Amino acid sequence: MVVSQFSPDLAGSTVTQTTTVRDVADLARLIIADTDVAKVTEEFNQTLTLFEALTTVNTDGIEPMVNPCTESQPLRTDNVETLVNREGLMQNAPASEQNYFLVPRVID
Amino acid sequence: MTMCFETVAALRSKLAAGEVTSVELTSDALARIADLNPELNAVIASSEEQAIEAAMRADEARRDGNNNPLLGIPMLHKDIFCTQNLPTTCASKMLADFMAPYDATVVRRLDQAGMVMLGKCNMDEFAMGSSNETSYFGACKNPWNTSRVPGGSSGGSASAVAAGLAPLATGTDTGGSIRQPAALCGITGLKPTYGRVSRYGMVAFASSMDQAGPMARTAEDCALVLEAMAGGDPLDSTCSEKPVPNYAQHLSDAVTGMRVGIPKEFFSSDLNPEVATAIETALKELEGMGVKLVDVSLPSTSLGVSTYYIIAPAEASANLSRYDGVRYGYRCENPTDLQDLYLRSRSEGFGDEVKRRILIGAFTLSAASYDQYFMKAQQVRRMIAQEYDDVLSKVDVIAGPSAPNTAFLLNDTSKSITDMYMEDVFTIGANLAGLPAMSVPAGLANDLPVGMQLIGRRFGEVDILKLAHQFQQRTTWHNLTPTLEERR
Amino acid sequence: MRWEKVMGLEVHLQLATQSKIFSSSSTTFGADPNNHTNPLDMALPGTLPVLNHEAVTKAIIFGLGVGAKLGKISRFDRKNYFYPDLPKGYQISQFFEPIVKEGVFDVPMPDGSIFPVRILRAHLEEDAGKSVHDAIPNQTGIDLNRAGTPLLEVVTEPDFRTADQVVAYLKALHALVTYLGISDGNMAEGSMRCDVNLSLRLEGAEEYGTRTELKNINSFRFIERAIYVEAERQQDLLESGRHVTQETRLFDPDADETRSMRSKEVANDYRYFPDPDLLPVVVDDETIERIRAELPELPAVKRARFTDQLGLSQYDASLLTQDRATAEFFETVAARCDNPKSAANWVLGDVSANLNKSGIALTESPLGAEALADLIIRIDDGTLSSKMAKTVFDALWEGASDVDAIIEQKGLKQVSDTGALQTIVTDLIANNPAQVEQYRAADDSKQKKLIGFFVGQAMKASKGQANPQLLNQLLKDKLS
Repeated sequence: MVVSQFSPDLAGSTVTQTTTVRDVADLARLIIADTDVAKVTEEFNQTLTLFEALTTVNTDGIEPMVNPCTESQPLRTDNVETLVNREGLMQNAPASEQNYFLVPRVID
Repeated sequence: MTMCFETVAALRSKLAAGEVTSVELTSDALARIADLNPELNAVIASSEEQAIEAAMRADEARRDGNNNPLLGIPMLHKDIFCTQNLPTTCASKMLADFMAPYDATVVRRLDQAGMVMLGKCNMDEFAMGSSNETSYFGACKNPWNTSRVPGGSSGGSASAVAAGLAPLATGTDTGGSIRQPAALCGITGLKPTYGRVSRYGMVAFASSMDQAGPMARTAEDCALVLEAMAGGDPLDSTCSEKPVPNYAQHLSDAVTGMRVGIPKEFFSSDLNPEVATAIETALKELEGMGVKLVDVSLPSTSLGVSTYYIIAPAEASANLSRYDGVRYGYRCENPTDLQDLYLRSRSEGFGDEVKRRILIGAFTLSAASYDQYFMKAQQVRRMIAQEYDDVLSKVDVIAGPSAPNTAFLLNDTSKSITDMYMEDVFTIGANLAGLPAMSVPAGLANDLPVGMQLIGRRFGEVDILKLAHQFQQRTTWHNLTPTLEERR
Repeated sequence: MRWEKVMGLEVHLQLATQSKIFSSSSTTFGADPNNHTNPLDMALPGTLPVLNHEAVTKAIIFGLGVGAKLGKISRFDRKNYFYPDLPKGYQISQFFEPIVKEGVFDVPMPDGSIFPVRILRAHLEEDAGKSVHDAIPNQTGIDLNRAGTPLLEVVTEPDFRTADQVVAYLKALHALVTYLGISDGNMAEGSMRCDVNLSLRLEGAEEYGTRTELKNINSFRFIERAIYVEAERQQDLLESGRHVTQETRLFDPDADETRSMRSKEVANDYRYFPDPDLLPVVVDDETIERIRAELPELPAVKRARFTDQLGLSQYDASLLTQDRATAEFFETVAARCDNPKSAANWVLGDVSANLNKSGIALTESPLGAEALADLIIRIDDGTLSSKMAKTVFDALWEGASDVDAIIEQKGLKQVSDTGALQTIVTDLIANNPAQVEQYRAADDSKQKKLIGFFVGQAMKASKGQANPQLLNQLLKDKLS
């Protein structure tokens, strides 16, 4: 049985200039129909206009806030907990066989 | 149905006194849902058999001496909480058939307290919206005027409680999604401090802001339910271990001398004048309670919406990447290859607003935009949080309107997307800063409900609850109910 | 044109915890697909990560092991991309603030020199699942048992110039992590995965060339070959005036070439951002010191002790300290028999050979360290000749455990009784007058050869148990 363990990382992550809504849609795996591109772009730009208010705000030296919590990360003891409902886990799988989730064949 | 508008607290007494059984309450509620829901569309799915069984168990437990305040009381869960008994759809085609193999912590706790789940409530798809119009299962109607929206994203929960389908529904609030629909539907809703209630099993929208909370007729009810919902959870790293106060016990603590800040920015041109009038009347009532009203300023209020609509969609864009048609959820037919599977499953499974937010989110996180948008927004977020902390060091509670408008018309095409976003202008600050906030009924404007918002310090639910409770003891707006035709 | 290879390494180590980094599923290899998974591993809606204490501890242990600065406050970030073995559509990793920062790792080279490698950082992240391509026709099967296993990614500065250095580093890293007990560090099994970033520049140049990343090469031999082949490829490009494209490449051992990963056509922007489901990981000084106090002796320290105090050669010390099991086995033997050199010889010689032949690891050796030590003691005290010792060794390997019992049972005691040997020698000389005369007539060098006959006969007469040194001495005396 051939087992592939790779995942599609790029060395150093080639950065895409996401100047078009289509580029962003690709990143997010969403289709924008040709007939919709203009409308979606317009809506997109409207939202970006909303963001302009932030550009003039002086935020020098302010630490970005990720989460309002002030505590540090709680640590879990390294114990194995066996699952109680294994059938439930696979029950929603749209396509599965021999306990694998299936996707169309990926070629390396 | 004489008991359909009773509070949780009142029902508790009646159940304890033997005046009614849980089975009776439950079957009445189910009947009312069957009658009214076709029009309101507040409930996506109900579980009649299991509800009656749970009610029977509750009645038996009561006979055995269990006197938990929530025992046997029927309720509804927003369809964003994972439940093993019913699908958890998030009002999306993407999860229309999803059967969670576990219960959300919130679901588990309220079940353990003996509450009887009737069904799951409609909402905006994946909690993204302020009108419940983005739901895959169709819009929900405001019981006060069925050509109008109930608000969102917890629109179904608000509509259900307002219409007396159940005395309590759970909701979630990321940018105002409990408070704004509570205001528009004339009920009481509470968003706890971020970290007060576990998010485990609550489908994630914006992880750093999402909070679960009760939506009911009164602050007292919210206090009872919050106590059962709140507290540490080893399954949620962001859930606080701070002890949970006995909120109900503190409702009658003295409020005289409390300082309540009124931010001048909350009375800007964004606020509908009739709403402003109603709020001013409500604030006078607070004054009459011996509370000192203080003028304060939250200058960054105008930045809140921009900040929120950068951060929330960004977090959401990552949280929604798991919906890919592989392990659960909607899968397109006959995918030709992996990319086709992803593209079509996601594009067909998600609605427009969800896709819009994913796009904006992916954009602001992309390498070229990260510093300018996302990181900037996180810095402004800290500024806003700091501003609230500064004000709340001088006053105990901040008060103002919950929403800028009363319930607007369904399918209002004059509202642009960003107009819709502005519905959250007063509620968003509490989400960014992680503060507890609630909306209480404050009268009507043009026959539509108005809500007053109370915002407290982090873990300061006791303060806002007691203020709200005593406000409700001297006002009667929370007792108003919409007139509904009952179809038989 | 003389080209210089410039290489940096990224090694992913699977940490040997019981449960996964963010979920409480087991990390052991399960037989059935998806039977060591839970809702969190499957990225079901509403599930949330909670950090495994042991993963943090093991990361700190590693940091201390390479003398690195520790990130007292570190954070987790989301690395966003779509692939079926990545259930959330993002990997939780540490991009901005890793738990382990700069350090230096001294790598012992085969010639005994030390090659210092600068560690840039080491960070915690979760492993992805596995894709299986030929279990079901036209489909790829996804098994998430491995998804969520804790990884420590160790990143070096581009300090490597030769494949030998790379291999030495990987061996030393394997030794270190097995010593520290934080990982199996096994390339063949996938608990240690190595990616090589390689670029070329002209010797003497200061700037770095464009690099490619060689991924997922799982043996030292393949790494050496991949480096060679890729360097050649880049050299050809550069010398013909073309450019090296920054990309990820796989090594194909059958075709003996590297090739671009096909999925690279879809460019990726990982959109790293801090994970809001996790809070900052805070490590205080008290914790660090407690962990430091409990660290086992590091390979470098052991090596130095073996050469300085036990008098072993650099070479032997290096071999013995390659993994903790071997080092501790050796130490037990050496301490008990008080003869480190002999202990080293036996462990590196017969024990090692037998293990290889049986294809088992030292931990499965039927011969215990105490027994081996006892064997050496009996050689040193003259009870056993080297030849008889081998017989005892074999018996121990077959399962016997008491050296003295074996000696007794098989009557292997070396005959060192001078009287008995005298008798044998006297008889020999009496019975072989021709050979005796030949010997006495020969010159020194020939005598050395001729004595062999007598030694052989005496051995036969004593059933191989004559003490060779004593026998030799007696023969020389009697024959001269």
